[in-house]
Amino acid sequence: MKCCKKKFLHFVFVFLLAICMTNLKSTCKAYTIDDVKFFIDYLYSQNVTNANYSSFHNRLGSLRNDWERMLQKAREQNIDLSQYTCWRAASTGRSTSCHLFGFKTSPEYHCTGYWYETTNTNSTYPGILWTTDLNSWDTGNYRFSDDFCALNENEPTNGNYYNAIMQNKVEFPPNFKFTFFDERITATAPNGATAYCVFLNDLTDIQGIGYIENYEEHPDTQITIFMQNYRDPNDVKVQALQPTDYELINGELWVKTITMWTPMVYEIVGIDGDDNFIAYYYIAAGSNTSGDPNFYGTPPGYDDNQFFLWKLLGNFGDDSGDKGGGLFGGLYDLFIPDKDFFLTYFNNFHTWASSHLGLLYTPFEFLFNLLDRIINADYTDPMVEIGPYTLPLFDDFTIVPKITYHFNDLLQDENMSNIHDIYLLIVDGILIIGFLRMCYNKYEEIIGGKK
Amino acid sequence: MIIEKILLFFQEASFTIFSFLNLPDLPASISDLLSDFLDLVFVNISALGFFVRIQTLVILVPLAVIIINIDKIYDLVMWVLKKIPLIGIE
Repeated sequence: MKCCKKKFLHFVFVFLLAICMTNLKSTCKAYTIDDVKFFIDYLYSQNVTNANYSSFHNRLGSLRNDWERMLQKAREQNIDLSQYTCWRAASTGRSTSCHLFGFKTSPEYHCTGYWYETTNTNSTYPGILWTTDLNSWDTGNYRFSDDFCALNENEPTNGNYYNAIMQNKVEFPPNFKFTFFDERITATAPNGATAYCVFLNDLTDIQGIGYIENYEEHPDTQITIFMQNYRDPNDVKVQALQPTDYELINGELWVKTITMWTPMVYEIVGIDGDDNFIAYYYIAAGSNTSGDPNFYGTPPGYDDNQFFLWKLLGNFGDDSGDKGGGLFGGLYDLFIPDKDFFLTYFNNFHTWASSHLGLLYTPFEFLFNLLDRIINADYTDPMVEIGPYTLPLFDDFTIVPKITYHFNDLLQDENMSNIHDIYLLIVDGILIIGFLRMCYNKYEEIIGGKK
Repeated sequence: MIIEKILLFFQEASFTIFSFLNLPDLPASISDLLSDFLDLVFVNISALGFFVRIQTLVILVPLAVIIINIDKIYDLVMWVLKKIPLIGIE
């Protein structure tokens, strides 16, 4: 009986831990700037293979750091990001990369990008904002990649970019929507139709399925998917997306306009699993009254400012894994649930338990809250904040003022930084040795019969 | 597919069986107190990143959980495999 009780408690513990981990992973961290919430969880999630290309950030979450630096730069240049109508991000994902963040706006048809050269420590890092005129979009000449990406033969110099932004202050309409989903991108047309597109990517193929949620009410809505990808390290653009029914534009950009409810499947050809592979995905939805598949304008009666909502999902690596084919693939499909299954499963359980179990579920919520704080803490800027402590009964007399200490200030000294690196190395060694010791004990317990 | 069906069955069954439960929430004052307590204790949790490399913990902790429960995982896998007549595991 005691043994069963112990096993049961053990099972409950593992079950709850699984709930915690799944639930916490789904937490989308809101990043508020000027009262606009940015959901950038995807940018630094484990599924983003972006940790090794930046020489400035040797930790996971490089994209987030870059994003924050971009915001900082935008503030310095008095650009109100809350007024942007759309946002685009791209990472080349290579070791000697540039890095792009872009903004597509309307009706000015200006874009603003963020670019820096990570290989040149003497560059104007952390970034150069630049603008360019995108009126040419209306002509049907796809200059999308040329204008947005710095990886082409017309790449301006750092100074040119910098001068451009200094001379062209960008003002955008006050409508900004920006949402990242784990593996779903969304576009909302001004007529209310919402388009979704889901991509599955495992470095050997990409499948995209797009649909509009409320198509019956908005039969004039079209969804446009742009796909483009590059393969490095030689800065050579490689056509890799091979839609089943495609139209080739300018020899480098695949454009596919689909009728709603028609699933589309894209397959990559010519990709050899190179880590440097990257694909860009763009989705836009709008009411296309002209029937032009290259439609970018705003339909009559709709507000320009609300027309475009661009989303990007890129470079999410080999997250889906290679499950292979044949018998193994069949068994995999038979027994291994989809990766989103457990997320949905435990989220449903969490929701149900919160609403039905009341205070009985409070300890678990307390535990989730605790783990949420631990996992979502910003460890990149370790700091201690104390106070302020006041006495409410004595006119809020402050007995301990607010004290903030940033540990990273210590590391500005080179010697201290070296000592800290060595210290972390030793701690890592201790942890790894302890882990190996634990593995050995477990091995002894299983194989050697040790209790 | 099989595991999905089994888990969904248990979930639906438990939701149905215990659907009559509708217990009151903890009073807001107490939950706020707990939240304040967590704020007090964990407001400086980021300082941990200075003393331990978080990436190491992110890798080792899940591995440790798996290793500690490896016998349970083994039992579960074998339990599933034994259900497949094609493999012939007794």
